[in-house]
Amino acid sequence: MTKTPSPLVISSGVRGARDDHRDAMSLRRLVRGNRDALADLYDAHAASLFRHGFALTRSRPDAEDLVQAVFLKLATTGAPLLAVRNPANYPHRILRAAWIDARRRPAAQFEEPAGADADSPALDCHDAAEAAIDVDAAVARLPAAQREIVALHLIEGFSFREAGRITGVSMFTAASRYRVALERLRQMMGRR
Amino acid sequence: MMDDVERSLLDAERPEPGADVRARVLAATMPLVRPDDSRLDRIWFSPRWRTAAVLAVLVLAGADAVSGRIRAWALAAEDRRAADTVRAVEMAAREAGLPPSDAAALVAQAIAATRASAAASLNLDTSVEGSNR
Repeated sequence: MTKTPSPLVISSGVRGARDDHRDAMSLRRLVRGNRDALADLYDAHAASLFRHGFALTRSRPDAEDLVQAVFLKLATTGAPLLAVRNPANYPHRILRAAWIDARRRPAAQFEEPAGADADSPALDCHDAAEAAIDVDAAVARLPAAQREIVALHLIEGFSFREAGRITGVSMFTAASRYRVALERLRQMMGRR
Repeated sequence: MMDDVERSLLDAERPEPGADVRARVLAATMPLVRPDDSRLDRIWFSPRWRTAAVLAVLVLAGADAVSGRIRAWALAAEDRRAADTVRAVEMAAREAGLPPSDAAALVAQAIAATRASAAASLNLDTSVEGSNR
């Protein structure tokens, strides 16, 4: 019986294709020491990982460093890669762990962009109506966790369950973060 | 249903890694790829092996439960047979007009005899099991 690649279930309308079987085979080849498997994984996931890293750091060099950290981990993990159940989520989980590690270091590399704070209230409608800003600037003002869930769910097409697994929260928390993020963006962009 | 904020997020330009990043990342990481020679690790982390191990445990547990049930059923049947024998002896003693003390002694002998035969069959079972191992 041959497995056919299952198309990504998309909840947001973004077009994308996910091939867990191909990724699992690449991981298996990687465990056997096949270096081309790493290149295949890079081609399949690097862009998505970069966007995830960029959502977290808002810095291209930092996002690139996170992508490199992911592939470093993949290259050196060995046999435990055989036990990976969700090959599409796994690199994103590594990226997030690398981001957290980098933030924990004494001289934290990744600084939150100015204005992005989980506790700071979003602009009220008042200000928003006067100063509607473009979508990129509005996203930059969101806290990292909300930017991340928007990137994973809306842009990369992960379901809330998968995004929750990647970010280490429940499906409901992921969905709630997404709703809050959209509400904030709506206010900042002056749309009701 | 997608609203206009989601639509503008989707329409916004998406950041892509620079052209040189692929070469840089792969140059830094490819030399670190080594075949994992540990056969034991490869077996341990293999999903097939894990599934097979779980199935084997389930099969063993199932076999244990079934054999325990069969044994309990056999013992219950043995008990039933002993009770029938005792009842038959009691009735025969009463019909023969034996005094109650003699009838009780006969019943006690019958109980001892059935217990001895049950124990003997149990011993035979365990010795057969032992010899099978």
